[in-house]
Parts: sequence; structure tokens; C-alpha cells
Amino acid sequence: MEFKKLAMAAMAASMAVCGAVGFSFAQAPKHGVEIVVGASPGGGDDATARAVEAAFNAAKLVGQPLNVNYRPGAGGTVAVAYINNYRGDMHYLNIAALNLITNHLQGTSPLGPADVTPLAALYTEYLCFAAHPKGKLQTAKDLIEALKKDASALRFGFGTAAGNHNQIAFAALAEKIGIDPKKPRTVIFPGAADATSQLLGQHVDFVVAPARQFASYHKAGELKCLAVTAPERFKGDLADVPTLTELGYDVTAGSWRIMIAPGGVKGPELAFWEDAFKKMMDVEAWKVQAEKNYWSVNYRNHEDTLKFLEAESKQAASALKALGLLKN
Amino acid sequence: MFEALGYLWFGFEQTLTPFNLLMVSVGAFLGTWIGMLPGLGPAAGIALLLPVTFGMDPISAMIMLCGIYYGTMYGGSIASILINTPGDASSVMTTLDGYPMTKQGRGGVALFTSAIASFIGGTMAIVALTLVAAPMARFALRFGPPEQFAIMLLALIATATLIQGSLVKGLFSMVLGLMIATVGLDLQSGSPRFTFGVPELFDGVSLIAILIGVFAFSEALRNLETILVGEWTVHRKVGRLWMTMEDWTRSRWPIVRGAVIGFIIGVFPGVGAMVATLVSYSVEYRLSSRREEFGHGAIEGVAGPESANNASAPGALVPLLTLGIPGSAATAVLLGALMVYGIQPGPRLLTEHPELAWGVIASLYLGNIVLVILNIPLIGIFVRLLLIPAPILNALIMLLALTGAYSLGNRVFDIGVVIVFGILGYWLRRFGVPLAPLVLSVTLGGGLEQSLRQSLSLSNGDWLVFVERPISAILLAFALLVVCGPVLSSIYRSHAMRRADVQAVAPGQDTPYRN
Repeated sequence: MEFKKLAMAAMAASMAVCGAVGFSFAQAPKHGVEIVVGASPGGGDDATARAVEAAFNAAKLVGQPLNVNYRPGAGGTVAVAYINNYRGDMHYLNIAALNLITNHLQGTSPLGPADVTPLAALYTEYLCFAAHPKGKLQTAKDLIEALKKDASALRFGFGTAAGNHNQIAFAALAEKIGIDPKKPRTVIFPGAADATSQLLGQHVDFVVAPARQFASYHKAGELKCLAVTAPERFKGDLADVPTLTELGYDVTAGSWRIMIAPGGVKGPELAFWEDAFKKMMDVEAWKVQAEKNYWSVNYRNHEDTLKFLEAESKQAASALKALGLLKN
Repeated sequence: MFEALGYLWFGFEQTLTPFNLLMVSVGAFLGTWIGMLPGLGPAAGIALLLPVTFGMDPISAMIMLCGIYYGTMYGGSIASILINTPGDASSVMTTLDGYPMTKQGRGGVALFTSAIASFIGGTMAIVALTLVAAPMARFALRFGPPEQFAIMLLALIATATLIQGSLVKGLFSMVLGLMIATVGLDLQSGSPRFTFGVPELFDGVSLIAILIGVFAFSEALRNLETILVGEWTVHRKVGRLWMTMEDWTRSRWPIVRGAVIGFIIGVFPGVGAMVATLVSYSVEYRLSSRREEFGHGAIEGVAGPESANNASAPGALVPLLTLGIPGSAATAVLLGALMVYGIQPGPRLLTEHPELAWGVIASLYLGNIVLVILNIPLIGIFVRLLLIPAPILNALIMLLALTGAYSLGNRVFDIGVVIVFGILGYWLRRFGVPLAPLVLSVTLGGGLEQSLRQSLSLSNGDWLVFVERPISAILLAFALLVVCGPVLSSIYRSHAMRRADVQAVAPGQDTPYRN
């Protein structure tokens, strides 16, 4: 009896302390957390979710079970709509990308960056312009010359969807060169792997895709990476590939991933996630995955992610306009 | 070639650990049961079980996934044959003759044939994969958009011309399918078509949900009708399980041809197993001296496509293992899985991760053997499904159809799709419209349109691109032959007959499509 009372008192006291501490700094999740992947299992979003899960678990940063759940559809729109069913609830997270902006701009999603709570920016996958080693484009210079001379003679392929990061990166380069980004014979394939196979078969002249996609082909001499859209050169297999910036075209573009929660997550709950993702960046498991996948880690907190999204929205809007993909 | 055998031995060394053997068996076993559920074919089955393998080492995980790959294909045939509910598009052709065989009390034989055909087709294709993977993959790279368009057109035309009895109804079904295939975001322009602002429609109407609706759910609705009027029979005949000598002589060449067709078509990126089954079925139909039996339980109609289906799986692995590009939806999921394990597949997969690549090839051999050992004794149990009283079996089918649809993408919307297409399928059956062309053209329609437009974009609008390229020209010539062949031969025949003054006998071939 005595013991039970004592234990109860101790528990109550510790809960009060925890609660007080939690309230003033950060509010941890109270039950399991769902990490929603807006695509099918396998692929970039899934790999990101698994890396986050592994890093959180390795460093015990959340203290509650994590559960990766798939809500594929409409370029991530279905997943964003799903988490927003739980407005203000910190237990639902989603991995978002440029689609969050472009789907909203193009009117295919009613939800945009303003409707969700960005928690942290995770990484950017910079892109690579690749060509076939037996083709007419041997260097980045060849590509730029050919684009200037007669862009409509070039066959440009990329994966997944019109107006995505790949095409926006091309449009950014086209703007710097001073040509119409709609000029090349543009073909869209269902995914980056399909675009790669079409380039291997020389059915297209050049392809834009995340650098990771081409690194092993470049090393094996099967394909040739002409230029990357990163701010500085990659290490490893792609170390000999110049950046567009060093070639005199100030273009950095990529496919980035940010972590979002439903709209209306704020205060101590937002503070908890900001802190957790910041700490995650130093977890070994996360660093290993990031390096393996050519993810350039670019952590930003809530405030900075908001600014980043604003800048990205502007770039995307002008690129989509130039590509004729914006209605107005 | 001896080099390849050395690598293969290396692969077996990787695979033959007790744990991996367990994994391939568990995969094959789970795959068989999952594949039996309506709508869960190889791609969906692998995707569903993928998270189970996270945390395993990549070799064991890939070995398990290969077991699942084969298992789901085999499981899909069981459901197609016994209850007319194909797991995915590539087992639609199996329903055409498999289900009539069941109705005639030959369900056991059909299952046995399917198991043997799958085993032989799969094994032949794995041998081919071991020996000629690299040169085949190089050749397959010549398949650009024009070639993809030509082969899909050939497959669609070959199927369309099988419709003889009810040409108008068959074409109606096919056009309806093509129309449904246009729903969704257009890949080339990014603009939504016929989506009515519903985000769930942006990726198009889920093919699998259509399949479940049109086959499983509408079948269940029809059964419900007979149950309500009290016309259902308590016991259906199970019949004998083993093939007779005649069954074997009739199946063996279709199996061999199916294996060759399946492997070759499997290698070409972006074409898929379903086209392989279509081509195999129409080849067997055209070569057969008993065309009238097709659609009414011709064993060749089960043997050929089943062999082609399983042979296409190793075929699709050829570009994956040698070039790092997937040859089918299921291998695309495998590719994605490799990424989650932290392996970036590319042209160096065989040299950088030989233990993985050859481990996968060796596990395909094992998976195939495990499946035959596992499934032949189980045929007796599977066919007992038919002994379940119709009202209970029917309720089960409906339940599984709806839960299966939901499990595809955790979307309630897909349940609605199943119900709508179930009702549509029910009425189409009542009016005698064949359902297979609808499903086949929904499957092929998107790829057909996209590859046509990709080809024309690349050629700057020049239609000659289709005849200037040799592979596409040959495929289109075949398509033309398929269309004109019967017309020419019937003209020739009627001339010959008139000359011989023999009373003309109408060809009298029934449509292989059951209504």
C-alpha cells in the first residue's frame, strides 16, 4: 500500500516535471507518428522516408514508433490532402517536393505551400545533363552551341511529368542562353529509368535527371554527363563533370525534399520537430544514406524553409510560364 | 558461356544458405496466396510486401522478392482459372480458356497445366537469361518509342481480329477501353483530361481496380443473381487433377513457343508481360487446327499464355541486371527496392554487385522449383475452393475484391471504381459484350498513345519514322498481315470453292471471348 502510494506520487511528480519542461520547450509526439509517402513503395520518396525512419530510430529522437505509410497519387497531391485531414496534428508527416508548388501553380492541387506547415528542408538532388558518348553532344559546350544554333534539331527527354524539376532546370538554362525552352523536340517518359534507357539507345540526344541516376553510367563510359546543376562539383564518380555555373551559366536547380506537417502545427510541437530534424542531420545513418544517394544535405529550419519555398515558387512560376505550362 | 556457368555456381553459393532458402520459399508461398487475391498481381504484390524486406540484407531481400514475383504470377493463374478473377492484366488471357475448363470440371487439369507451363516457360527463360543476357539487352536498346508503338499496335490488332462472332461488340469493348485509358494527367503536356477536378483521377483510373471490377465484382454480381433466384448448384465438379497424354501433346509446343515469345517480349523495355500473353494466345489460336475450341476450354489457351507470362519475368530482368533499367512494372518496383537498400542499379550491377545479380538469377531457378514442389500437391486443395457453397464463396469474392482494391493505394476511391466497373461489367455481360478487349485496351491504351506521340515529337511530326526504322517496319508489316491475312485467305478460299463447285461452308469459328 505504502509502496503503491509512493510510486503514484513519484509518477505524478515526474509527469508534472516532464509536462512543464515539454510545455516550455518542445512537445513530443504522444503516440505513433505516420510518415506519409506520396508515391508507391520504392523510389526517391520512399528511400527518404526510410532514411528518416532509420536515423530517428538509431538516435531515439522521437520516443514513439514511426510508421511509413504510402498514399500514392497525383504527384503527391493525394498525400498532402490526406495529412491535411488532420489539421494541427503533429503526428502526420509527409515528404514533399517541388510538386507541392507546381501542382498548386498549375491548378491541379487546391493545396499549396501556404496550406501546410514546413518543418525542415532535408536535401537537394542536383541534376545532370547527360548525352550518349557516340552522339553529337560530347561536351557541355557542344550542347550549348547546338541549342543556340538550332534547338529544334535536338531531342530532349526526361522522366515523370511535364514542368517538373528536370524541365524547370532546362528552362533556367534556356533563359540564360536566351532561347525558347519549348524549342527542342521534347519527350517525356514515365520515369528517369525509362529516359535513361532511351538515351542508351540514342533515341534522344540529351536527358536531364538527378545526378545519382547517371553516376554509374558515366563511370562505365556508357553515358556521358555533360554538366551538373549543383553549386559546386560532385566528389567521386562525377568529379570530372563541370557545373553550369563554372561554365558561365548561373543555373543551380534540383529536386529537393522537405518535411511537412499538416497546416496549423505550431508552438512547442513545431519546435519539437525542428529540433528533431536538426539533430537528425548529425546522425551517422542519415549521413551514410545521403552520401550513397547523392543527396546534398541542405538543412533549413521552419522559417528558412518558408523563405526557400517562396524563392522556389518564383523560379517555378517564371519557368512554367516560359514553358507555356501556366494557364494565365 | 562457361564463364556464365561459373558465375551461376557463384550465385547458387550466395543463395543456398538455409536462411535464403527459407526466404525464397516464404516469398513463393506468400506470393501464391497474395496473387490469388483479386487485383494483386506481381507488381502490386511485390510493392505490398516490399516493406517486410526492409531491414534484411539486400541479397536475402531480393531473393524473397523474386520468390514473391513468381508466386504472385502463379497465384494469379489459380484465381483466373477457378473463379474467373485475374490478379492482373497478364493473367486475363488465362481466364479465356482456364475458366471454361473449370466449368467443364477440368479445373484441376487447367491448374496442373498452368503449373507445368509456368515451370517450363520460367526455366527456359532463366536459362536464356543466364546465357544471352548481355547481347539481348544491347539489342533491346534499339526499342525506341516507334518500336514500342508498333509492338503494342500489333498486340492490340492481333487480339481485335480474334473477335469474330461479335465484331461490333468486341470493337465497342475495345474502344471503351481506349477511351478510359485517356483519363488522367497527360504525360506529354501535363494537362488533366477527363478528371473533373478529382485528384484521384489524375493518375488515370486504376487499371487494377478496373480489372477487379470488371472481372471479379461483376462475376460476383452475376452469381448473386443466380443465388437470389435459387439457381445455384451446391457442388461443382472438381474432376481429375493430372494431365492426360493428350493434354500433354496438345500443350507441349504451346509451352515452348510461349517461353520464347515471353522471354523476347519481356526483354524489351516498356512492353510488358501482358503483351507476351496476348501474342502467345493469338499465335496458338492461329496455329491451332481446333480454333473452335478456343474460348471454350482449349488447353493450348492456358498453356501458351501461362508459359509466356512466366518467361517474361526473367526476360524483364535482363535489362534490369545488365543495364539497370526495368523491363516491366514489377521489375520497376524491384529497381526501386534496390534504391531503398542503398544500391544504385546501373550498367555495373553485374560487376559491382555480382553476388546480388547472380544471387537473384540463382534464386529464380530455386523459386521456380520451389513453386512447382509447393503448388502441385496443393492443387487438390485449391480446387476445393469450388466446393465452398456458392453464396459463401461469392460473399468472399466480393469482400476480397473490395479490400484488395483499397489495399492498392489505401484509397477509398478505388473501392468506388470497383463497384462502378462491376456494375458496368455486369451489364456488358448481359448484352454479350466481351470484357477482355476492354481490359486489354485499358492496359495498352496509355502506352500506345504516349509512344505514338513521343515518336512524332522526336521525328518532328514525320509519320515515316514508323517505316524507316527496320524493327518497327517489320512489326507493322506483321500487323498489316494480321488484318489482311484472313480477308485475303477467305477471298482465295471462296474463289477456290466456286471453281470446285463445292458448297461454301462458313468458317463458323466462334469467338474465343466468352460473354
